[in-house]
Amino acid sequence: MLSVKQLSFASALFIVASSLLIKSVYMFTFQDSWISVLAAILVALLIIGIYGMLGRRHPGLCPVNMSEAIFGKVLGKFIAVLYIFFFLSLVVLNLEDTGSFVTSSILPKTPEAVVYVLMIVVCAMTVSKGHKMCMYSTMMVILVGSILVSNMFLLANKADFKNFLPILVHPPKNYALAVHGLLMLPLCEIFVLMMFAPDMDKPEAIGSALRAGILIGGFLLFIIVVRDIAAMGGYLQFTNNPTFSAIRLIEIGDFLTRLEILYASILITTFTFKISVCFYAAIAGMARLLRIDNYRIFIGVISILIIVATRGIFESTFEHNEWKRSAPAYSAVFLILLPILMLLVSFVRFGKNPKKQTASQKGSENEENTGLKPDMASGET
Amino acid sequence: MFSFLLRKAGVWFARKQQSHEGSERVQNEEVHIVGDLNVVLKQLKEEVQDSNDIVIRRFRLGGSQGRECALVFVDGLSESRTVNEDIIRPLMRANIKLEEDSATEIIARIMHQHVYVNEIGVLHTMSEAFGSALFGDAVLFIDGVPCALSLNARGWEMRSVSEPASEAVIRGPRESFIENMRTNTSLIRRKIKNPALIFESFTIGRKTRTSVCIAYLRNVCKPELVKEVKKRLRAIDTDSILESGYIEQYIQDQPGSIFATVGYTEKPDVAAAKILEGRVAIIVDGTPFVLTVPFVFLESFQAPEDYYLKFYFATFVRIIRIIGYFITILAPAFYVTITTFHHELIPTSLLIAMAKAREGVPFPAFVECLLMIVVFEIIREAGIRLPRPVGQALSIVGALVIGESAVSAGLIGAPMVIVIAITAISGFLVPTQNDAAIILRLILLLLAACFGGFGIALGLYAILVHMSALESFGYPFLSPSVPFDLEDQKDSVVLLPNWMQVSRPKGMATDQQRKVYNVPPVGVDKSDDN
Repeated sequence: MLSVKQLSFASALFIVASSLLIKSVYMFTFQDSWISVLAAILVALLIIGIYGMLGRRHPGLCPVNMSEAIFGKVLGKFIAVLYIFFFLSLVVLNLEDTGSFVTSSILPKTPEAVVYVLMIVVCAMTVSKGHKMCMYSTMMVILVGSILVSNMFLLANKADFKNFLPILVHPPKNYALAVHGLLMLPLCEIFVLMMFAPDMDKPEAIGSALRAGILIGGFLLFIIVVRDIAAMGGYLQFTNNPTFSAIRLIEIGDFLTRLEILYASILITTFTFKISVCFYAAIAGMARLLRIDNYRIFIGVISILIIVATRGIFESTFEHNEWKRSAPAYSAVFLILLPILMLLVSFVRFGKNPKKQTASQKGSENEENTGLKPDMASGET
Repeated sequence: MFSFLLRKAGVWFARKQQSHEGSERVQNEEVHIVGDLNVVLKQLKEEVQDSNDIVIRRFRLGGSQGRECALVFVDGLSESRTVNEDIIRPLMRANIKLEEDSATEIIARIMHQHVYVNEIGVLHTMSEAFGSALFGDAVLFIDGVPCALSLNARGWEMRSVSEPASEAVIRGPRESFIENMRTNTSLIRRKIKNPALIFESFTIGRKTRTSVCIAYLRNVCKPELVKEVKKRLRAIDTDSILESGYIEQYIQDQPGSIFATVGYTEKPDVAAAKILEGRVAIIVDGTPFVLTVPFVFLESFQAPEDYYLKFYFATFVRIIRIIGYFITILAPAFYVTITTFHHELIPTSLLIAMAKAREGVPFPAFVECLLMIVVFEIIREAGIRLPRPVGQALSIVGALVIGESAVSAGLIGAPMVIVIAITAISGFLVPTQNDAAIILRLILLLLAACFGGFGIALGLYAILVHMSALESFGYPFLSPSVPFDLEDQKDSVVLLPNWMQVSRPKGMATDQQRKVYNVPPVGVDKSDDN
């Protein structure tokens, strides 16, 4: 059973992973990005409120089962399939991101496919451990967090607070775009962790778990962004990977240098975690949709599919960059629109107080038959 | 996947074994002791053939008119003084008529009046009688009585309690467990003088009939844990248990893992400390190594001395041990990856020096490293088995030939010798994890050689995932780091002083949470000095 604490640290780790590769926010708001981060955290808390409400109204149901419960058999299954597709696409996209980072900064001569295969092998191993994969997240967050915070102090001699000036000079549209990007890329993606709802010891508290995750992860994201701006200043726009470049600047007494290796290992491990979570979400969703108890049977096939898909997803870096502009819109469908729709339909169909379903709905039999049929009837009348 | 294959293989072997099983089972049928002494002795003779250490002494109770009886014992396991003075002599001299009494009366009389031994049992079957005699008791068969008496006359040659060979300490008790189970239980009992300390024994092994005993504190240890340990011990069905390592392999949670999830110790104070924390100790007759469960990874980094010394120093030493562990699994991999993939990580002057040292070396760094690791493991293994007088020769060969000559001959680079030396030495900081560390070192080395730093990071991550999913008797293996618990950090990497260790590790014990009753300790409060 996962405790609230474990899930919140897992979501923080989830956020930290993407925060390390964050770039789009600098494209829109440059030196004001820290404001965008704060605004994004606030908006994210609102959206998490929606997730939390969904979690409270349907405790112990993961998004896949939830959409079945809310939208009924046919439409619900269709939306559940969409969600599974979304989780799989997250796996593929994140794997691609990691792969391009590894081949561009660590192993320039290695074909990307090799990187994918190795990562997917480790992810498959992680996924086979089930919800236990969230157990070590607390320790990882403490480790990663202390490294990030200490990095900030180590960069103090390179930091220049003039880099933050001038404040609030960009057009409002830029701030909106930056906040939207931040919301969709690192912050609200923790919706994926709702897939762990059936494994939680207190499933109705999933909202507060995610909220705590946003706060911890958001804090680390804020630190990363502030440090990058302070250390890099105007160079932000010219580098491909601001955080990596910022950490490269660390140089204390000709001794404490080359800390980018730390950054690289954090990035690889946190991304492996993130990919594993999405991977788990996808195949656990499949298993729950098809009412199969053992989700592990999917691991092998889906791993191979993922590798193939990742190889072919982008033909060039240019295409990748183009995708990055439209990615937030794509994610918004699954992370904002559909949850809001779910909540509305849930209100319309089940009224204020939907009959509490048991938390032990772990992808098993007929929740429609037991708890929901009477509710459906009452909802429609 | 590996564990999956292992499980399949296990099932296959078990099936193979079942076909052999039938004949063995029939033999173990219970044979009751009959009233006729001659028949009993004939059965005995049939079973033991001419084994010359089993002594059958026939005499008459209470002199020449008495009932005939036979005393069976194993020469060497039973003390002859006890047998002669306290059993045979009073029985022969028993100046009472026993002929007319019934069987139960005879037994009662002998038990109450005639033998001077502290433990007496009544046996009804031949297998019980054998078991008892082979444990060192003297078994008394009496003509006309359909049962036998087992009289405790145990006493055999054993090593005296001496210093532990594998867990040397500077400060702390010097005694260690020995091969005799009874002595071992007494050593623990002397540390915990509490009626709640329970010893329960089992006999495991069809052929060896090894006595195995579990020890726990009744009010502290979780009943489910005791139940689980008993269940797993009872499930062991094998011919022989010769060392606690046999038991360890049978009761592990995940036998396929390279990490041991059962701890062992040679020191009674360590075993007692673990029992006091709520763990169960498993004492196996015939070995000085006592098992403790559940076992967490961090226990490997704890030495008994930590608790006897100042906590600042203890914390420091623990951190050193953890660093040492990381060095021992990572140093070769790290060296290979920075010389092969990431030259930019080395300061330029060092890079030049290293390149110079490696100049004439014919092999790539990976092969060089693998070679040195294997050579070191050969030296280490030889060092363990070597007769003591030859030991010095080995160190000369190791130091001069491999260290000095191989470098000057240009076979290996000097930095590699340093790396392997520090790897090897660090390994001994955490001796209980040394076996797993060797495997991890090789895996990480392979990953480093193929994928550089990326491989190492992923390898470490995979190890973390594997370890955090491990459990030892339902207790997380990486506890208290995974799942993270702030309060339990008081005895983890950091060690707080003993008087601050107010609770047992979470989830380990039952409700008895407090270990320390007066905090702060006597002497801290200055106000009542006068």
